[in-house]
Amino acid sequence: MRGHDITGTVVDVGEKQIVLLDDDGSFHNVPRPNHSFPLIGERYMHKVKRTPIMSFSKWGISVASFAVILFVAFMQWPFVDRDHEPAYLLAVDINPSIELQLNQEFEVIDVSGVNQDGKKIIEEMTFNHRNIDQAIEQVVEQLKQSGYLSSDQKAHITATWVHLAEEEKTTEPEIDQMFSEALHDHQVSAKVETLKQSEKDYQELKEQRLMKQAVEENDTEKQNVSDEDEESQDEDAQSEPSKNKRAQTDPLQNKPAQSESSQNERTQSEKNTPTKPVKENQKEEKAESKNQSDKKKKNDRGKPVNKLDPPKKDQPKRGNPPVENKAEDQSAEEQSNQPEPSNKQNPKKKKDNQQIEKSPKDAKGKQKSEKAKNKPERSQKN
Amino acid sequence: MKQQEIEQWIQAIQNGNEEKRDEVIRYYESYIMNVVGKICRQYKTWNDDEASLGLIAFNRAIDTYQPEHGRTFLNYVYLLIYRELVDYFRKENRYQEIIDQQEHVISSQAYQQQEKKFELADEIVALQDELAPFSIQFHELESASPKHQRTRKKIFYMASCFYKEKELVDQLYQRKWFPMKSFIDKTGFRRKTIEKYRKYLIAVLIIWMHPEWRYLQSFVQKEGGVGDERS
Repeated sequence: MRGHDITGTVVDVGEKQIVLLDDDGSFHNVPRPNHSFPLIGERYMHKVKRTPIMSFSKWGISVASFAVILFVAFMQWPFVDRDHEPAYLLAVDINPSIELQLNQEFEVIDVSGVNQDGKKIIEEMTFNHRNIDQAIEQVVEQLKQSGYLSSDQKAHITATWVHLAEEEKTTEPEIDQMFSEALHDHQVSAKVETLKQSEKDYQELKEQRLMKQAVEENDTEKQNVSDEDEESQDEDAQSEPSKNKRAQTDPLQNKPAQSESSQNERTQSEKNTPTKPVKENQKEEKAESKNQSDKKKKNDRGKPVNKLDPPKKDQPKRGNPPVENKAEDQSAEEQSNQPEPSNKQNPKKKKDNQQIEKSPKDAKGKQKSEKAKNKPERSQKN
Repeated sequence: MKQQEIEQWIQAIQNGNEEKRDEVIRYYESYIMNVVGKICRQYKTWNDDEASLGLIAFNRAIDTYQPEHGRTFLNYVYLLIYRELVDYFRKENRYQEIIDQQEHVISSQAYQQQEKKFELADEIVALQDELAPFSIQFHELESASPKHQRTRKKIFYMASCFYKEKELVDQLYQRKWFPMKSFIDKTGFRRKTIEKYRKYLIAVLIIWMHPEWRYLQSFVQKEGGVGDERS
């Protein structure tokens, strides 16, 4: 009926409308024009105005509303989109330490190297929105290529899973399994340790680590002055690229340099349990210091021993990244190597070195027993 | 109302049956208003002077109607109301308002057409009167009308089913209520459909029940043509 004129017999005329009886028997109510008043029984034709399908105002309204919807949607977008919001952090520590930032969907959104080696590793990788398992596989592959992992030597990998968004409790991917699969695929062996930490703990740990690095750098500068002659004597099996660097820095103290050292050496150190060499160390040092320190011990306790003490206080009970362990392992090992050359020279000087060397490690705070044992050494220094 | 019936009534009134007069006035009320509105070309209510004048004119028409002069009653009523109102407008100097378009002089060719129109109007008035007990007004019928050819056919088939059942028709007519339940029981149509088109069905059935309404019959033709199967 729309769009056609309605013709019919007038049945009723009201104030506003005329009721028509169509020829086919249906009734129609049509508006009554102002100056027209048909008689009942007359034929009447109602002209339906042909309006455009959509009037201009309707167009305007629809376009405007559409624009508003678009605008609102656009405004909402960044809040809705969680793809770019870091929700998790996966820290992978072998010696190169890498941090992977993951979003809600476990896709990698950012990668950063914590130390020099880590930065080097990630330079050669692209992680754009890969899934976590792919990313892990890639990390393993890259580590293998760079020679940090191999099939015959067992490396120690610590993966720390940090939950940034606290309110949401989602199921966490099985990092353990992903690593072991990736390792298996690339036919390398490593001991994988996975940890879960809150963001706070992790940040503290990271700070400690950075501080430690800074201190170590300071130390190396000192040692470079004093121990320049020592450097060539220890550690023989070394890879070529690191050699230049090592010529400039002290191999004992500079961590990046250490990490670049040959795989054999590194893996050896990793094979040892982290505590063992430390204990040896302690025994050694204890023996050296016993004579002197016992009496001074009490006096020194009250004093702040060095600037690295504060981080020691809030030691995380678990989940020390292996970097630290390793660093200690290595230093322990190196120390055990050290005596030969250093004894020949000046034993007293050597002692100093050891003490300087030791203090930053204390800051890392391995074990409580160690802390106690270290005290006398520090007092020696004073 | 049939022509003869009107004549009888008017005869009775003219002989002094005042009750019938009220009845006839009430019956033609809507027609009076329609004619008044037509002449004034405005919608008038009983509060307007014109409506009162129309009623006076109608009253006079009852008194003076003479069927042997060849006019239908409604034609005569129209004429009287027209004259009355024209006089009134002359008095009020508002004659120009209505004079231009009114063709009150009926040519001989148009006469037949005119008479037919009045007869149809009479039928419509009668239908309106019949629908009143069902509380159905004309403007309500639009929404109850079938909109498509197929539904219209279906409704007409439904109505003819109903119309065949004498019992149902009697019920409808006497109780002024659509015998929904017995209709469903007998025919098995869906209640929802019937309910939707109920008013239209009643209107169609009423027209069919009055085969004397010749013109209205043509609007709602039964399948197989107009014809009173019952009688």
